[in-house]
Amino acid sequence: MAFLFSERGRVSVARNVGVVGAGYSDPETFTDFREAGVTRSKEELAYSTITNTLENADVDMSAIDATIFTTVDGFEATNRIERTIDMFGQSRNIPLISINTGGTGGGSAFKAAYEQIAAGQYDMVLVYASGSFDSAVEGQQIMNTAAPPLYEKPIISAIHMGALYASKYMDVHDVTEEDLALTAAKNYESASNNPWAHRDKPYSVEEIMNSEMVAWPLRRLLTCPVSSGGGAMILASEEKVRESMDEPVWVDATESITNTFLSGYRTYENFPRLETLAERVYGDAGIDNPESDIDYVETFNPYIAFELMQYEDLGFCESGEGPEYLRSGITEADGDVPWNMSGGVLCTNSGICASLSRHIEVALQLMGDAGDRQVDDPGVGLAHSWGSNLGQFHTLAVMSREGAN
Amino acid sequence: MTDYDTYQKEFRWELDFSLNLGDADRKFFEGLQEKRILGKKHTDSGRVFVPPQPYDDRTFTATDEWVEMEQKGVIESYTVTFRQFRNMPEPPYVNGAIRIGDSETCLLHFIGGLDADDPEAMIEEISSGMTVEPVWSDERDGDILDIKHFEPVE
Repeated sequence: MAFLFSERGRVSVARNVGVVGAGYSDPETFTDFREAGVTRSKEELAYSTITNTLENADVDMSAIDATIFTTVDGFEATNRIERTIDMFGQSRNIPLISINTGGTGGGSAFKAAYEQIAAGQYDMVLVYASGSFDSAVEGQQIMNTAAPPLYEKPIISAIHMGALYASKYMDVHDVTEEDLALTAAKNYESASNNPWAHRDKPYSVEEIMNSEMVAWPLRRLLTCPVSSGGGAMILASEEKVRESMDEPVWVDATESITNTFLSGYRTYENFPRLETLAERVYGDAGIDNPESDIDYVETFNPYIAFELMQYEDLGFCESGEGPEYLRSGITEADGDVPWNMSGGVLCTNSGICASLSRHIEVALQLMGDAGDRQVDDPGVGLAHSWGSNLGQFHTLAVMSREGAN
Repeated sequence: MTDYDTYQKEFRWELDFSLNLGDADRKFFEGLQEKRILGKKHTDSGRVFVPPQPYDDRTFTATDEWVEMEQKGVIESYTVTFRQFRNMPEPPYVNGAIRIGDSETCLLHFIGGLDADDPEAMIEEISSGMTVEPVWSDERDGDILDIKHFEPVE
């Protein structure tokens, strides 16, 4: 039993929850399937993802008590989003719920799994995040349906959701195109160590700045690709965690925050709701100073200006100092707090899988299972997701390795 | 090379919708038809909403008064699109978030009537904080596109 005292005065009694496994479908599936000629059916993708994740956790499907599926309506080629239900061992009559919160699907599903276990209902929960971009002929068709239909649908599409924030950020803080390109270059460099990266080659700042302009100020290489690939995690109660892990990875806190569906409430000046959410989650996890208390961060950075804004909103630096913080090297592989060593969503945007990937990457780093992208002995990690109509939701999770720090 | 077609089967759903308009939406769209921009106000707090909201989001109490807004807005943010996207205009075009008067909420809309015709010059011509006014379409049928676009005020 853990007694959590938060700064909001909330007192709760919850069971400890840990991460016992995390994984992806096979590396070659993380690509643009249309060009690569590598396709998997929804079912095959889920099967390989879940098999790899069970292997990482060293547990059998029969140990799973409940399952959570996340994707977005439309991306599964049916509006019953749980179409890969057969892969979840449903013949064993275990429950499944669907989570459908856009780009935060992974973070919300992770939170739902945490809650089911913390509440004492289940001991081991499997979360599967679909590689949702692998069936719509054009993703824009589906993403357009995320906007309020009478007021906003005719005016914007997905790229504008990133561009309006990036444009305002540059206007307000005199951020330059070079600042954005440097941030992207850091992510591409990292992705070259990640077998699950779709764009896995380093690009120079010059190459990035010469790439085609899509919507000001976002050039093609400042914007994520459309990738395939699935991801999964297994969360468990303390008893189950201790059975399978010598150095358990705990979920210290996880929370989400909501904004309006109508994007009209946004000013596009950074992410004020993320700032509020960070305060809550840091309070719950006992984090006083993010830079010194957190060792590794993965954020949702499909439009690369977001990463600079997140340095600020997550309390790593002051408002407007994102570019300077990047240049300090703190967020690089050998810096004090490496960020997005996977290359982030910028390099691999496998739809809703990409939102759970942030949590998967943090867990793998804390477990020491991150391969060539492994950073030096991280003890505490922060995972973020962002999504739905112009950033309607954010989620955050803090995880830590037992005995660290 | 493998034949790409052998890896996929194409099909489509055809979905049609008819969305019910509430009082707030109906009155706003009727206003647009008459070249008027109407806002919904929460009298107690003085907060005004364009697009109109049926309730004040902070107090979760109903907005209770219609006000006609001055036909001027400020650009909160904007972008210039260089590439063609499905169901969107032919590039280049500018769209952005426009705050009408002292509204709590912004309208998303197109920004046109610019001197520039190439996209690089459009980026230079527009900036956040700029004042704009609506340009009305000649044929209006109670739709957000009854406003053709907003353009910078001379």
